[in-house]
Amino acid sequence: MYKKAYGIIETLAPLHVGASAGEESGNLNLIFRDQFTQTGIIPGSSIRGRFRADMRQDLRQKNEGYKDYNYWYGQEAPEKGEAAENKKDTTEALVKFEYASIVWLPVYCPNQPVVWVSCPRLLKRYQKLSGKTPYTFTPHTYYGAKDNLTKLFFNLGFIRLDSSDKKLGDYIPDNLENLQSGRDLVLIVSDTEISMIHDMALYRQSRVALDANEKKAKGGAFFNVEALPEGTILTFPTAIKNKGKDDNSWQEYIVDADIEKTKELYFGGLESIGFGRTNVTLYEGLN
Amino acid sequence: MTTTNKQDAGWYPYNLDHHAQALVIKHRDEKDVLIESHKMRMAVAYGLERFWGEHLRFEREKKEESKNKGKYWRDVWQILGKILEESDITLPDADTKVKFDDTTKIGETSSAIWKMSAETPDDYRIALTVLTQLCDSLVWWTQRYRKKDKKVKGEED
Repeated sequence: MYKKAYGIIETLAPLHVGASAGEESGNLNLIFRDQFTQTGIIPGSSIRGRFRADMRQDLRQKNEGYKDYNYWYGQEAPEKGEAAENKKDTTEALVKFEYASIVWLPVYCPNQPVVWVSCPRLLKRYQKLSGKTPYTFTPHTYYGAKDNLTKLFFNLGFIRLDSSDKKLGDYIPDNLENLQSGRDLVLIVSDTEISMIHDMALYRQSRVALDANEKKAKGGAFFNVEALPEGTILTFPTAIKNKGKDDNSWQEYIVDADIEKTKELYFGGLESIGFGRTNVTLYEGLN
Repeated sequence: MTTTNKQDAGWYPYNLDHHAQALVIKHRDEKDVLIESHKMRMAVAYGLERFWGEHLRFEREKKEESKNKGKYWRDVWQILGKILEESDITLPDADTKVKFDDTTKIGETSSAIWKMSAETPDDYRIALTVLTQLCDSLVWWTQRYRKKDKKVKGEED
């Protein structure tokens, strides 16, 4: 019924997807988090929105009256009075997106200086989406260029390491800009520790909007923001509804969306001041 | 925190907030001591060499107030030494035995700290990172617990 695929998102700048400045008075501009690991996510709606908006801006779409665009993402409801004209009724979108969760998260580590961290639960999601061999991930195992490490230090504590585990290299996506299997250090922590490590890893800033005439904060325009750091690796599932027997809808979609290779896409807020740039790669057709 | 076997693989928190809160409570009743927290946070930017030895500078002062400040700096260095010891890193003069008049010992300790940055740069960076975070916590608790000057012990309103 559905053709599945999955995507990998690598952040190239801090990424903030969550409550934005000014939308609430509490000054907490937190990112969206997964319920069980308490780690950052990008909602499916945000991913869909970006893909959809990019396709809409494609000139080919404009020239063809947004034919493909409406085909993949569904026809909007007609305005009052328009129904009588040749505007069709709403249609279901053919392409579906689910939320993106973290695969590897870079954390500052005074003796490294960066270690990419994950936990069994997050890696299991990636394993299932990507169709890789199932594997039992053991907390406090690690993999990188060195294999005689005993401790890794962080801002708020340290980890006494279990053994080095080369298998972890199979769960690092290829062709990332920042993270390379065998070169960079990756670490598994337990599902209960990841949330605390995640909080240490987040990019946090206090931000302010200045008054137009004086060098002081505009009323209320002072807020703290958190974002996923540069070099975070996330994964999301996506699917396309099958049309018939010899369905090649993924290939068609990829051509229409112009995403044959890794593509630079922007997600989330604060885009205009340097947040949100990512590389997105789609890996199609697991069944 | 796991206490069964120190060598078990796993997470070992430094418990910085806990240590910082205890330090601040210990020194809050002495006049003007807690404002040193901010100076400590400033000092870490310049490295361990500058941080160690501040308690000695205070030692030579005559005023009780200054001596109290010196005790605060000394306690912070000692706590840092204890935290690092848990992770098998040795901090020079961790028990602050060196005295202001002992020129030889001062020289030796300074050399030990410089040597640490040259020979075990990872340990040095870790010590500095932990100290920075500890000072952040000290500033936090200072802002909560610091008394207004006129209410300091021994003075009437």
